[in-house]
Amino acid sequence: MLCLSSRRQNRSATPPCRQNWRGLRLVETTHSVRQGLLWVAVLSTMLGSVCPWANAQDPSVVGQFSALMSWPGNATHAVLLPNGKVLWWPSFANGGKPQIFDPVSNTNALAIAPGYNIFCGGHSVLGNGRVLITGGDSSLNTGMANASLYDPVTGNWTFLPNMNAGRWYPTNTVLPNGDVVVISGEISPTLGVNPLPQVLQVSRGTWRDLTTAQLDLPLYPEMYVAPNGTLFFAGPSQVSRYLNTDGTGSWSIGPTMQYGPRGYGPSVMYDTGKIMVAGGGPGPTATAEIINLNAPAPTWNYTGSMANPRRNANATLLPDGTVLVTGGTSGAQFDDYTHPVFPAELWNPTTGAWSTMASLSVYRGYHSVALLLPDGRVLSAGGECNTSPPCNRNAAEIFSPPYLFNGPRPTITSAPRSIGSGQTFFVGTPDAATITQVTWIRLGAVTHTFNQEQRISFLGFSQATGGLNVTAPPSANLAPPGFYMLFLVNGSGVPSVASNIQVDNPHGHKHK
Amino acid sequence: MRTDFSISKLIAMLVVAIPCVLGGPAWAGDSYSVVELGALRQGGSSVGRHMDGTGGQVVGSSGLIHGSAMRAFVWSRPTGMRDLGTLPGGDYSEAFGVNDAGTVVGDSNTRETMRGFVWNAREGIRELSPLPGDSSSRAFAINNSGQIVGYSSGKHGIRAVVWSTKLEVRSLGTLPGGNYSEAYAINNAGRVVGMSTSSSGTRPFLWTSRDGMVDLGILTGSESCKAVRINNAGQVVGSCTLGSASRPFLWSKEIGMQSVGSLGGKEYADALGINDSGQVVGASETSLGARAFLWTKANGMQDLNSLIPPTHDVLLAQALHINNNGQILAVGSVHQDLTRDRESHLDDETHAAPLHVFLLTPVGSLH
Repeated sequence: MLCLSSRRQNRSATPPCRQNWRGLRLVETTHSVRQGLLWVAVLSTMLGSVCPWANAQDPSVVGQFSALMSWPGNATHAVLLPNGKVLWWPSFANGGKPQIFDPVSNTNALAIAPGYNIFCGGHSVLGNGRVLITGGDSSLNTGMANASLYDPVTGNWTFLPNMNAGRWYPTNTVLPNGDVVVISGEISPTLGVNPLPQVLQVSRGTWRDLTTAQLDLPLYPEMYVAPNGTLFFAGPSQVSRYLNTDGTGSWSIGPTMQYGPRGYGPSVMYDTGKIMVAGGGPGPTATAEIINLNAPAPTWNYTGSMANPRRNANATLLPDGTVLVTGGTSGAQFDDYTHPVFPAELWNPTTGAWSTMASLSVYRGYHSVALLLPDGRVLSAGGECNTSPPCNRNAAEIFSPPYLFNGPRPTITSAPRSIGSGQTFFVGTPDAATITQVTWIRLGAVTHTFNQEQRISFLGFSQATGGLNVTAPPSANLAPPGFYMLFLVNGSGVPSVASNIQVDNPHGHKHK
Repeated sequence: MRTDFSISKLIAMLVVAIPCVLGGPAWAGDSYSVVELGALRQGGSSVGRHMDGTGGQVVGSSGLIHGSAMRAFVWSRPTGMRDLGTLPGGDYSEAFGVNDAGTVVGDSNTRETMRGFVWNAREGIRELSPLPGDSSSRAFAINNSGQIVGYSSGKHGIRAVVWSTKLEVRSLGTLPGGNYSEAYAINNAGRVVGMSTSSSGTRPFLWTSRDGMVDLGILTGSESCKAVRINNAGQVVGSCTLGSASRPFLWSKEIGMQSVGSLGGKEYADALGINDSGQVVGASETSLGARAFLWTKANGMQDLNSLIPPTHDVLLAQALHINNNGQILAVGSVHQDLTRDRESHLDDETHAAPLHVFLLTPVGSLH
C-alpha cells in the first residue's frame, strides 16, 4: 500500500496494508511518491472498471483509517494544542488524569494532573494558547464550579475563581474580544441546569455574570460566534436563539429546526456564518440541516441526508471545506453499540451531498471524539462501549481523508506566527501557482459530539514572489482570537500540512 | 438476603407484576417498595425533585437525555406523569417544589428569558414576576401556606426572594459583604434557607422575618457551604466544599453544623433532603460510583441500595427528597441483570442511559 506525504514520515502511524484486491496484495513500495501515485491511479482505474466495489476500497476515494492504536484510556475530551499535540482525558474516575498525545511519534504521556475531575467540563483554547476548562464531574452527576487554565508550554495548571455554581456539561465559546462565555451545564439534579451565562474576563481572571440573560438550555449547547458578533445557539433544541453578551446580556429568539430536537447530533460552522447539523435523536435521523446566519432572516433548511442515521457521532471540518462525520449509533437506544455506524461520511457543502468513506474498526459512540490534526488527518478515539468485539474504547485510529491519496501535498516554507484581524501576510510556498484555496481552521476542542472551538475561514489570497499574500478575515467576529491551522489547498484538493498562526491575541502572550 | 438467581428472578417478576396494576413497574423489598415513575417521552430522561406529604404527587422534569425538550411534570398514581407545559413562548421548563395542596413551582423559558412559575390544576401555569427592574426569576420551593422562594435576576445582580401568597415578590437581601444570593427551601413557619456570598465567601443562610438573613457557618475545614432544605423542626441540610470535594452537613439551632459523613468515598457526598423526623437523604461517592443514601441519627448513613432487595435491576444513585412518611424520591438507572453484577461500577449506566425516577415507600406503611 502506498503511504504518501506526511504519512511516510511516520511509519508507526501508517495503517497496515490490509486491502487485498482480488489477490493483488499491494505492499509498501520503495518507489518515489510520484511513481506510487501513478500506480495508484492505474490500479484504481483498472480495478474500478472491472469490479465497482474496488472503488469503494480505494483510499483516494474513501480515505483510510489507520490500524487501531492502544491508548491508556478512553478519550472523552480532546483539545488540539498550539504545539500540535493533543491534550485529552478519559471519562469517570479517570477524568482527572489527562494525557498528551503526540501525533508525530504516536505516543501518549501523562500530563500534570489538575487535581480534580475535569471529565464533563467545557474547554476552549484562549488567545494566549492556554486551555480553559470549566466545570467537571463530582461523580454524582453533579457539576463542579471549578475553572482552571492549562498552560501547554509549561504543562502547569492555574486555578481561577469558582463560577457561580456547578456546571456539568457546559460549553465554552471564545468571544471576539478574547474573553470566554460559559453557558449551561447542570448544577445538580436538585437545582437543575445552571441558567446563568458567565464571561471569563481573561485579562483579569474574573467572571462577569450575564444576569439579564438567564435561560434554561440543554447540556453542552452548540454555540457559535455569528458574523454580527452575537452568539448563535444552534442546538440540540429545536428552537435556536441568539445571545448578546454585551453588558449583562440578553437572548432573542431565533429560527426553528425542521426535524425537531437533535440530541447528540453534531454541528459545525462550515463557512462564515453557515452552520450544518447532522443526525441526532430521538430517532436517530440521517437528515441534516443548514442555516445561513448572513441572510436577513435565517432559516433552517434540509440539505442532503447521510446514508446512515446517527446519534453520538462527531463532525470534523477538513481543510478543503468538506465535513467528515464519524461514528455514532443508528440504534434506538441512546448509546446503542448493537447498531454501530462504522462508515464515515463526507459532506460537500457545495452540493449538499454525502459520500461514504472508509469504515472505523470499532464503535465510536457516546464519549468518543474526533479531532482534525495539523497534518490534515482526523483522530478518532474513545467511547464508552467496552465489549470486545466490536468495541474498544481504550484505542484510537486516525483517518486519512481521500485528499491524502490524491497527489503531492503543497508545502509551506514560511508563515507568520501571529497576525491581526484583516492583516495581509506572506506565506512562503514553492507551490503557489497550484494553490486554489487557502483556509484556516481553529484548533479543535471536542467532547460529547460537539467541538466547542472548530471553525473555518476561506481566506483571500494572491500570488506573490515565492509564495502567496493571504488576507485574514477583517473582523474578530469571523475569527475570534486564538490559534488557527493555516492550510494551502491545491487544485486537486490536496492540503498542505498546516502552519499554526496566532490571531489577534489581545492578552499579550506571544506564540512560542 | 441474596437468593438463587433463577428464584430471585421469579420473585422479582411476581413483585413487579402486582403493583403494576396500581402504577408503574414496582419492586418490594425488606425496607422499601419501589415504583419507577416513567418519562414524558419514550426513552426519555426524568428527574423527580420533590413530593407532597403523602407521596401522592411528585414533581420534576422530563425530556430527552441531557436536556432537550425538557418539561416540568407532576406525577400521581392515577394519572401518571403529566406535562405542565411552559410559559408562553417557552421551550423548556422544570419543576422544583410542590406543597400538600398540589401547587407546583419551578421555572420556564419564555421567548427571551427565564421566569419562575406557579401551577395548580385549577389555574394552570402562571408567571412569577421578578423584582421590579429585574428580567428573570426562578422558584425552587413552596410551603403549605403558599409562600414561594427562589431568586430574581437583573442588572443589579441575583437576589434570594420570597413570593407571598398573593405572589408579591420581596428580596431577602444578602449576607453582609455579599452581592449574590439564592433561596432553595422554605418550611411551613416561613423560614428560608439558601446560599449567599459574603465577606467570608459563599455561606449557607437561614432567613426569618424576625432576624433576616443569618450565616449558618461552615463545616470545619471547608471553604464554602450551601443550604438546600429545611424541615419544620428548623433543621437544615446542605453541602460544603473544600477545593473540588464536597461534604454533607446537618445544621440545628442546638448543635450547629455537623457532618453526616459519607459512604466511604473520599471526595463527594451531598445532603439533599430532610424530613421532620430528621432523616436525611442524599448521594455519596463510593468505590463503585454514586450511591443514594439515607442517614438517621440511630443508624448513621446507609446505602439505600442495601435497603431494597438485590433481586431487581435498579441502581439508586441519588436520593433527592424524603417526606414525613419516610417516602424517598431517588434517581438512578435500570440495569439489565443487575442481580448478577450488583457490585459493578455502574456510573456509566447512570450517566449515559436515561435517568429514571423512583419512589421508595417504606414497607408496612399505608402508602
